[in-house]
Order: sequence, then structure tokens, then C-alpha cells
Amino acid sequence: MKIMAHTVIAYPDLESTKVVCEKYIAAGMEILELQIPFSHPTADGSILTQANRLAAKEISTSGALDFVEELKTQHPDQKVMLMSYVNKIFSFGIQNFISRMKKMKVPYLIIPDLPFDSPLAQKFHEDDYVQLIPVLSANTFSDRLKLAMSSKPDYVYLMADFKITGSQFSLHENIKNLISKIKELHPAKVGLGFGISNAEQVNQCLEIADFSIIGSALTKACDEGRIDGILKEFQAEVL
Amino acid sequence: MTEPVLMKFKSKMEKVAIKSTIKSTASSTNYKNEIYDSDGYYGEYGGVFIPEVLRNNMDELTHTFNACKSDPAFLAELDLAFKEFSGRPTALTPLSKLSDELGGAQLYLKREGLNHTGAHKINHCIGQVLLAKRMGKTRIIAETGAGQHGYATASVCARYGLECIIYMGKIDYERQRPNVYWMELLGAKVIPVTEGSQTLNDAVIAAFKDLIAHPKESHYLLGSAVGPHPFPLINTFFQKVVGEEIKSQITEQIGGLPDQCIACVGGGSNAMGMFYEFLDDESVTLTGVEAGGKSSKGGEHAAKVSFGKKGIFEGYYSYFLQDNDGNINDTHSVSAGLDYCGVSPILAHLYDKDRVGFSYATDDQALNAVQVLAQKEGIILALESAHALAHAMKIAPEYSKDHCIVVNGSGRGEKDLFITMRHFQKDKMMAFLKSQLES
Ligand SMILES: Cc1ncc(COP(=O)(O)O)c(C=O)c1O
Repeated sequence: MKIMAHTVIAYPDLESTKVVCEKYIAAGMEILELQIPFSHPTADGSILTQANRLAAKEISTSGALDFVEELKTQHPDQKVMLMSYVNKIFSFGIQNFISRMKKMKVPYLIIPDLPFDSPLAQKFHEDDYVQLIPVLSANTFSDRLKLAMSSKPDYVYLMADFKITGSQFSLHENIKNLISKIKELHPAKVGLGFGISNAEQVNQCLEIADFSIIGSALTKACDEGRIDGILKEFQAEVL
Repeated sequence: MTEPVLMKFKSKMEKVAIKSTIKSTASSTNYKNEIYDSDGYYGEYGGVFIPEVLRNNMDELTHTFNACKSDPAFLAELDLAFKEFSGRPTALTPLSKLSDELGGAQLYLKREGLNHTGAHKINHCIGQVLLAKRMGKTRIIAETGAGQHGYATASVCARYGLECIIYMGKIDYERQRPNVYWMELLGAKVIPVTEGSQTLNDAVIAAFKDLIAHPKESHYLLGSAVGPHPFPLINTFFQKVVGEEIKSQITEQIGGLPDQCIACVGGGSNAMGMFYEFLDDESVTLTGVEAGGKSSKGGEHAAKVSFGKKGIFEGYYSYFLQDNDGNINDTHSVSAGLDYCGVSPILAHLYDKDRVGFSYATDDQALNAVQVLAQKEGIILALESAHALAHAMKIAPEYSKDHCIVVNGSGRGEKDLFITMRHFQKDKMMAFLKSQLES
């Protein structure tokens, strides 16, 4: 399935995350986006904010990385992206973090509050193994777009509209155009996210993008004990 | 009622305080220009750590600010609004009786509390609203903790005819009801934030999210010298009138520069406003006073320079109160305006350069300073500013009579009615509330 399934590591506890990751892998999710929890996520909606807040008390950055490493050992072919707010990585130590990524064989890193052209981002760009995945939106204009694509990332994360995670899904009118511009600059796979909660919306995304990204809706389904049902729905209906 | 105490500060804070009293040894400096022309970094601090979706808003604001900061028409409009709407210049009041009693340095109080809405916050609110008008914005978003910044924002928005949305953590919303009322009376929409810890950080985050959802028509009027570039610079720029007035007033009153300037530090807007004009006057010692709260234990204070660590949060790189794993700590201060986890990147830089020293005062010391000033000088000071005064009262006896210390009285204390009255006259307050309920 051309879906990147997002989950906050250790929400509500590590064991639950293990179980849910196995479910996502079994359901055929193309990519897992595993978030290192942070006490104050600045760009997440209420469901993921609460998940982060609780999980940050459950697990350290190091513990979260251990978890991902173990998962990758058991599922070496599963594509995984790490997601973290910049302060968690800064506090852990950027070089330490990069070493851990190499060790666990996960090259992809999403940091929503680290602009791709900031001096700190250079430390990731300078490393041959790690790829910072740009998070772009309908108001990313051509000069910034060129800059974002100059690191030749394998993937791009695109906000479907001016929203935060967990809000109602809508697709901004510029998105289609933006995707072709991205592809002209570099043949990255483009994922569309923010607010996606059902198979119909996934299919709508897949008409113009390479994969769709689902976060809050999956976490909410887990909270409400509906995860098996929703995964079945996706398996049956996603094109 | 308890007797005010004049000098009983001997505590752990001594160690930190020593650093603040060492005169800067830096040779001839040009901090003012360095800051004025900054591209967003102050030494290693500052930056723009935001999601890409906010980039255009920050670029547009930077661009507009750079055009306005030397535009005579803009500056004239700003000056006029300062004068006609806010009542500037504010007085510089010698605290003669208190100084005599302390038996050392002469203390002066810059009366920012005489501003419209009762604090220095109005300075950067007026400035940012004028910028917003230039950008053609119709909608102002702001965060508020205690409600002071929200109150000032709501007032300026009403005057300039802009829609005003104020985010306030639900806990703050409930404990600062009177300010919610003022904001609503001024026509603002106050939205309680139910996410996270339901306090100031959550309000800041909610405001940024609102900006993400409404990027074209909105300006986020951030309330201190913190946040991503250009906010620290913009707010310093609009606050620097405080130091400029102090300089001319003190020159008139004593015929020279002060020896020390002392300001409380929440995020750093009143401190930067006071310090900026004096940064290149090496003889003037500059000290920021943080909230020492109940103790130096994590979660019981808001002293980020004294006890925090370097980190990146809410768009900027500076000192933050955080745990060893990079999670942001809760903070505490009796003064809501100082109850914040981060500090201006400009102050962090000036601290590293030994140009600005830091100290802190505890809740009790601040409360005591409020009472002392009320009874000795007839001025009711905001609890935030009382931290600066408490530090000044502590060090004044160490100096001779010709030593001049200016304290920034960033706000007036009427807003603290429910906090100070509960402390000084709890029984009478409860009896009053009860009688109101019954009537
Ligand atoms: C009267 C007063 N002083 C000081 C502050 C602290 O903010 P800053 O450090 O930005 O001056 C506040 C904040 O609300 C305030 O209301």
C-alpha cells in the first residue's frame, strides 16, 4: 500500500507501539514514519500533541532509537523514516544521532522545525548517508523549492493544504503543479499528508502523488480500538 | 499584615549574583549596530527554526520591518502613537526615601507601568500593528500567558480596526479571568487552548498553528523578544524607546549616565528595551533578573539563563529550561509574565559576551519588594518588575551614595490584585469574595 503510516514511539507504551508497527507491516504499509516523542510538539494537532506529551514521559530518545533499531533488525526490508523535533536531536547530539541512524540502517529523517537551508541542517547534508526529507507546502515558491531539492532527496513530504496534522483533509489547488515542479528538479517520490483519514482521501492523493501520509487518524483509531477495521478498509479500497 | 523586609537576602542566589556585579571587561564594542543589522543570528543564538510553511510570513515580516525601521514616515507614525495613545514618555522617578533607607546607591524607577494598558508591552504591540497595517493584514493573532500582552494587543487592534484573536492556555484563561474580560470588552476573541499543559507554551504553539492555517491575512503579534527571526529584533527595536528615554531623563536629573540598569527577564522584551541604548556605554552595568520562583529545583522557577541549557524551541536557539533528554520543563513564578521557559537569543548572546549579567529573585523577594515600594514610595509595582527591584534593593547597600541604579518598572501592579491580596490580606480577600457571592 502506498501509505506512510505515522506513529509516536511509546504511545501509549512501547509494547503497544511494537504491536501496532507489526500490524502496519503486515498490512503492507510502504513506509513507517516513527516519531521520537517530544514534550511540546509545535506542528502537530491535538491527538498527536497529546500522544507526544505522554510518550515523552515513557521513553528517552535513546530508548526510542533502540526500538527502531530492533524493528529494523526484525524487518530489514521495511522502509522507515525517523521523525523528530529539532531540540530532541540537538540535545542527543547531532553526530551521535547520525551514528545511530547508520547503525540501524535508516537514512531518512524528518525534522519539521529545521529549515533545510539552516546552518544546523548542513550537518546532516554534509553526511553522505543521512537524508533530510524536506517538508514543503503550497506556498513554497521556486527559489526555495530549488534550494530544497538541491540535496537530491529520495522523498519529499508535502502538506496537502495550509493545515496542521489532525485537521480536516483538503487539497490545495497549487499542489498538482507543485508536484510536477518538484519532479522536474529531481525525481523524488512525493508523499501528501495532513488531515488524511480514509481510503477515499488516500486515493485522491494517489492520483497526483506517489504515496499518502496518515498520522492522527491511525493514532485515533488505535485509541478507539478501531485499528484492525481501518487497516482492512485501506487494504480493500486503496488503489 | 507582615512588615516589609528591607535586606534579608542571603541565599544560593549569591553565587549567580556575583557574576552580575562584575563590570564588563569587553573593549570598545558595537553591539547596537551588530543587533540592529542582524540577519537573525546573535553570536550562535537566534535563527529561524520554523516549518517551511511559515517561511513566507517570516520573510514578509523581515522585509517590511527592514523597510520601515529607517522610514521617517513610519517612525513618525510610531512616535505619535507612543505619545498620543500610550502616553509616552513615561516618568523616571527617583526613589529617594527607599534609597536613603537602604543607605547606599540611589535608585531610580522607569515608570513603564504608566503606559496605556499598564506595561511596556504596548510599545511592541503598537509597533507590530503598524507593521501589520503596512503588510495589508486584517487579522492579528497573539498568545498570552497572564493576559498582559493579550490585553495590550486587543487594545491596539481595537484602535487600528483589526480583528484580534488571542490564544490563552486553558489554565491561564481560568486563573486570569479579569484580563480575559478586558480583552473581550475590547472586542478580541479569546480562545482557551486545551492542548498540552494548557499554559503559555501551548498558547504560543496554538498561535503559530493559526498562522499556518491563515497565512495570508494574519500577522502573529508575538509578545516578547523571543521566537524566530525577526521577532527578537523587531520587539527590541520597538522597545528601545525605554532606554532612550532613560538616557535623556537621567542625564537631565544627575548630569550623566547611570552606573547600572536592572530589568526583569521573562522573554526579555523590557530588558532589551532598557539595555539596548546602553550596550555600547561600557561604564553602565546591565543586569537581567529572572524568576527564582520557590526554589532552584526543576519546575519551581523560571530562571533559564541561571539554570537552563542551550536548545532550540519555538523557532529560536537560546537557553531553555529542559530535561536531559531535550523535553521542555514546566516553569513556575508568582509573576505570570516571567513564567516562561526560554529567553531572548539576543540576551543569551550578550550574556555569553559578559555584556549582560544575570541574577534571580524569588517569589517571596518579589512580593516583599512590591510591599516595600508601595509603602516607601507610594507606587504599586507589577510582580514581574518587582523581581528587578528586589535585586536592586539587595545590592544597593554595597554602593556609595553617588552610585546610580535605574530599575525598569515594566508594569504597574493593579493587575496582580488577586495574587498580592491573597498573599498580604488573604482573610479580607476571602471575606470580600464571599460577600460578593452572597449579594
Ligand atoms: C509587567 C511585565 N513585565 C515583564 C514581563 C516579562 O516579559 P519580558 O521579559 O518580555 O519583558 C511581562 C510579561 O507579561 C509583564 O507583563
